[in-house]
Amino acid sequence: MKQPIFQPEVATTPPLRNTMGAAVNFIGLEKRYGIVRALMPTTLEILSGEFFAIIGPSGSGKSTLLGVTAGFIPSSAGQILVNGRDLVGEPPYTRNIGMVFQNYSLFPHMTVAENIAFPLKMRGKPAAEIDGKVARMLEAVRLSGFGARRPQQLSGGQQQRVALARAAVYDPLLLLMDEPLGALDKNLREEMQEEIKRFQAAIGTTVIYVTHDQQEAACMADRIAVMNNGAIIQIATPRELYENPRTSFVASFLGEANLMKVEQITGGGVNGCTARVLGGHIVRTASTILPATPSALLVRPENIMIGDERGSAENRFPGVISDVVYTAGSVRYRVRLGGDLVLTVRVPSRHGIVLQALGDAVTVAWRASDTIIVAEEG
Amino acid sequence: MAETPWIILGNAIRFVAVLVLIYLVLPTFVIVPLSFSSESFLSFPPPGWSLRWYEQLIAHQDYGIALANSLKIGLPAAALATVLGTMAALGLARGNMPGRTLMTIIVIAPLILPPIVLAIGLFPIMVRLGIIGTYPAILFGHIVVSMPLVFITVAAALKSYSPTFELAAMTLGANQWRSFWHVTFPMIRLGVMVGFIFAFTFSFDEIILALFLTNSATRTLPRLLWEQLNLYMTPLVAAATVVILCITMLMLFIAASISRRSDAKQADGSS
Repeated sequence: MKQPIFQPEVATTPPLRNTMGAAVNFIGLEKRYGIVRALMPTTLEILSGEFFAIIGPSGSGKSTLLGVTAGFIPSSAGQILVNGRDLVGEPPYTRNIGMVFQNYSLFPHMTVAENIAFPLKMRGKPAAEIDGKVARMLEAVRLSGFGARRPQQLSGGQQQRVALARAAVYDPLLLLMDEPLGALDKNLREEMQEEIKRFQAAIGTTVIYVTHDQQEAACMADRIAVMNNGAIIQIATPRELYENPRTSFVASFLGEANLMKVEQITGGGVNGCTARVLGGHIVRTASTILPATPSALLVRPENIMIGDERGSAENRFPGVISDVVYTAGSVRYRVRLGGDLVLTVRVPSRHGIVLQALGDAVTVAWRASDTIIVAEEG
Repeated sequence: MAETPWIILGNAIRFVAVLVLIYLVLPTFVIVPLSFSSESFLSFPPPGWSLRWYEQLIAHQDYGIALANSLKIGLPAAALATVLGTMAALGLARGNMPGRTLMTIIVIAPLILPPIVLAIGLFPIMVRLGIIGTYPAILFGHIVVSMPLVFITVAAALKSYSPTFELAAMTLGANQWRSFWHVTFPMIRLGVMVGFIFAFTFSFDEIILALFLTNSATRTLPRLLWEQLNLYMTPLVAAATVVILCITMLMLFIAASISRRSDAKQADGSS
């Protein structure tokens, strides 16, 4: 075979990584402290390269799940399979998992470049390879030229980008993030959300992202798991989770929710169900399945219309405005219906719109198809 | 003005504080002019000035031997107390073994208990071991009492750093030893140094254990001073005391400047 005279130049800088992120399987993973179950037996499948968020209030078990995965907390039972390899029993330093902490945890006695080089040094990589990788990582998080600085000389957002680079420089199969944006202010947080998403797309790793901020999770994640009392309540895409929450807890954890406790419910089939809710109101839903367990009806505030006298919505009730709050872009009303039922209604604020005043008698209306039946539980 | 009473109160507190400081420091420094006395008895104020007692001090062989003994005992005692105290602090401040509170109390106890109790307890043990009067005897005694000093300074340094630094190091691939050596130790290094200086200063000044556990060959500078003081009340003793005072103050000054550096570093790190 003849050797080609010109070697075609493939790429000036090699790609950040070639491997895909790992598929992660938790099988019956459990953590007990004595008789207290911090993590109920949890089975969960996370896809290769997926951005998977875990949300829940503090004490819901999300940090326990993360700690067990990283190897900080020994699990009581179950398996953690990363690309089929069980990590249970392995110390954190052989798991090859990257982790980003809320307080960044950048080593204060090392420069930015030394921080990013640290995991490569621990792996005994040659100096030339370390320098190359550190430079590329600094470029990836747009901090070229900051390598010689100390972490404490950088802003919070910059420090978090260094932490990101440090956790990813050794091509971990899985990247864990524990409230990484919790210490940043709102504007910077939104900027960093995009930054992290872009970074993840570039390196292709699987991410498990723990946060208590549902909005953050919804912006970033492919799928979200909602946890409460040590158990996963629901796993779904952000939209599915918001529009079809399984329980009243999930409904109220994501966004604002009007929940009406069901006293009696009949129907089912093509005509939907009809429920009598707390306060004696009769509400129609489009749900074809009659729930067997105690349940509640969910209507999102933006799905309720106000002052819509001639509309086609199946549910309409007279009420009195009991509170008006103007927030950027929308008006939030509280409307008191008979029988002490108070609904939150959010109306987009258009230019020149006449706002309802406190004490106004209004009609609230919403469609049966916007009425979701959720289980009445945690 | 509404703030006037507060200004008066503030000045009053400042005045009392200055008085207390003078009260604390002045008796210690009375010894300094005494050591420059021209007379061969201790009287204040000295009737005249001379350097003859310092000349005698340099010429006096016993003082040289005692100073060497103090260093021979103080440096290894401080070094061992630093290693043991740091290890105890790491275990008790970072580990999660049961009974940590009780262990902490036991580690600190030798510092709080009267040294005479420890001395009386150690004496028969050393006699039984046949090492009474030797270097190991006094070394052991000084390590026991100076270890809590190291423990306290290192534990304080550890508490000022979040344990997530070590967790981060471990996820990045460092085992326990390497995460200590590359991450924990550089962060607490200044605390360890201050602990070492405290431990050395303690050993260098210590008299009660030295009285019980050393003999005329291994006696330390404070013990020699004590013995001399019983026999001769000359300004020679004052001159030797001033030497101890200077060394101790130098040590504390170094410790204070290290502490300031570490505070400045932490203020940097937390911003």
